[in-house]
Amino acid sequence: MRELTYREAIREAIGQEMAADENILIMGEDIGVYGGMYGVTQGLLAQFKKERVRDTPVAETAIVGTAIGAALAGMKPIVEIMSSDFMFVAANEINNDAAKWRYQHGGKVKVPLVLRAPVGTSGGTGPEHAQSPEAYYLHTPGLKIVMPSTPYDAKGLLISAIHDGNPVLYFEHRRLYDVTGDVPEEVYKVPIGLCKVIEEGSDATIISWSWMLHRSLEAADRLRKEGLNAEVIDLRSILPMDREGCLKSARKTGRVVVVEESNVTGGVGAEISAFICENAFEHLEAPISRVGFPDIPVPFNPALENWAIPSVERIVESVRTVCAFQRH
Amino acid sequence: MEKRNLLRMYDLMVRTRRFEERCQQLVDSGKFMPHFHAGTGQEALSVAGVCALHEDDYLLYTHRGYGHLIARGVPINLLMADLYSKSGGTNNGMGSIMHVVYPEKGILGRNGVFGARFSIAAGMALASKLKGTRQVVAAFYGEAEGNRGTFFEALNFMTIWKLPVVLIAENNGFSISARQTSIYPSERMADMGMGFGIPCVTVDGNDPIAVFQAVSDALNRARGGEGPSLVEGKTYRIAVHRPHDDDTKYRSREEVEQWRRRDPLLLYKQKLYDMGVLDSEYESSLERRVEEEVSKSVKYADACGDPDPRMLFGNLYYSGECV
Repeated sequence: MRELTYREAIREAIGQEMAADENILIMGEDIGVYGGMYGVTQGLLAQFKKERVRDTPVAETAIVGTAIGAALAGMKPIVEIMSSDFMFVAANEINNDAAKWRYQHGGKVKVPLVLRAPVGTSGGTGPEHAQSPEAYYLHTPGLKIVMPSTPYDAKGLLISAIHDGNPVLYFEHRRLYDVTGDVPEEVYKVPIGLCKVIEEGSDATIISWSWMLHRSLEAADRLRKEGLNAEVIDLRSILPMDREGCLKSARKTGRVVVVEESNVTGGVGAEISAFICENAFEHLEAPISRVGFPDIPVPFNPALENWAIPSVERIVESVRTVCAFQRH
Repeated sequence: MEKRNLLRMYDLMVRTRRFEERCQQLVDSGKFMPHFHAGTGQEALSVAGVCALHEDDYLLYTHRGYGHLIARGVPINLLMADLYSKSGGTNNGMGSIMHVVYPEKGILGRNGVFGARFSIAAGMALASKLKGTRQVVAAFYGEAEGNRGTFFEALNFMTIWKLPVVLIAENNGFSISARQTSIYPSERMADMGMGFGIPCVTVDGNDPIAVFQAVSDALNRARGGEGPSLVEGKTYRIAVHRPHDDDTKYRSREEVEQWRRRDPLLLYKQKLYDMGVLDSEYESSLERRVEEEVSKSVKYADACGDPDPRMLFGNLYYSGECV
């Protein structure tokens, strides 16, 4: 099959959808002439009119608000926020307006909006350009959140997001843009709300997403050489979360490690851990372990940053620990 | 203006005033109506501004006074049910009067936190521009909302993209207890738009004919592709901010009395009498009709129940395919 980078897969999804539906537009900072800070929208301005590929001022509040208004009036805007860290500038628009609009207007209107933003560390960018903010939004009913880890899912989840009819936060990881993988040329969807078992295993379950999924797979490789078979799940959608998919694996292995790049406290891993305990307690052979960023901002210094990001070693160690745990 | 249109504005101002007076009575009698904010004294601005719109234009209304909604043709039965937060209103009891939604008349909802409406208005206008429908967005706002930085971000978008928006500032003298002049650099809210090089006009907000004219000019400009305008109507909030507020903390009785003598409803009535457009027969039959309609709206809302518990979860997400 044809290979594309994660970046190209996102671009192809946007291009194919825009070609098929003239109500779709993209807007954001430096997305037109410049092609986006990470080059995702390169070439789209040449393919479509500038009316539909709109460079905006650096004004996240107005970017998101304008997209909401356009969505309410029948457009399907795709917004690029240059860095997910900047979404906090538009917190009211995202959390109060986009998320609640349909609900508090009795379902009479909808907000078909895709908000794309890069997340995660990429080496030395510091605390305001490297966060993984998914947990902040997990706490906001009315939003959907997806975080693809492969080019295939990047395209399929974006197409699903565009057709979803709800505000979808589409978080793409900076370190994945150059990752390549099989991507069909045709338009296809990856359903929002379904996780995927990437590696089957019976000794433990590793649940992860986005870039951390790749480290989790590396960890699973090493563990296999030690004779431990970890099942690796790519969560893919943070909201709605595939609780059943996670529970199924947890019931099978009885030992769960959640790996995330964001701060552990109040994180997505905390939620996963809680609902597995609530729903599969009798199947658990060990306490659930969370591997994540310590509760500190992302340090600028690359050595310190590296220390804080969950490493393959930490994941391996965590799986070993949960596998070694014995009930007394 | 044609006689018919002059009378229509009068009808709507009377309907708004009587509707709100009834709301006040209901609140006084203990009715649960937590988001009632009367717009007494501002009816000329809200009604005339909306009357200038085309049928398919978009409207972002303010939460103060119901002149915008009544003038737009949202049935008062539905508004009363919304005020009660009951089913049977425009939002099925899910948004109170804060989130009236009436898409058939271009009301796609309302933001609950001040400041958000400006860019939402820009977005609706962007949709209109891209689709080529020539719809204009009229966004009313008050002192509080206009104090947010979002005003400038959005006005910038509207200006650089020449979006069809008319911003209508309701300068009623106050942001709750703060005087307009204490939270703006000048006594003209319209001055806030001056740096954008767009028309920023101030009119007597208690004169419906002046408001209608100024808003119509701005709408024409927007429809012609020339971009946004700002129309400020100077008026006065005779009503207290919300029922049972003690407004003596920030204004004198004399001041309120002075403005009562400039009540837009009284002034306009006199003007229409002087013009020979209105007579006592018309007036009394209108009052009777309105009284009946308002009473019916109370009966209607009293009969409305709480939303179905399924509404708790039912409409959080759109579940169809968005093609």
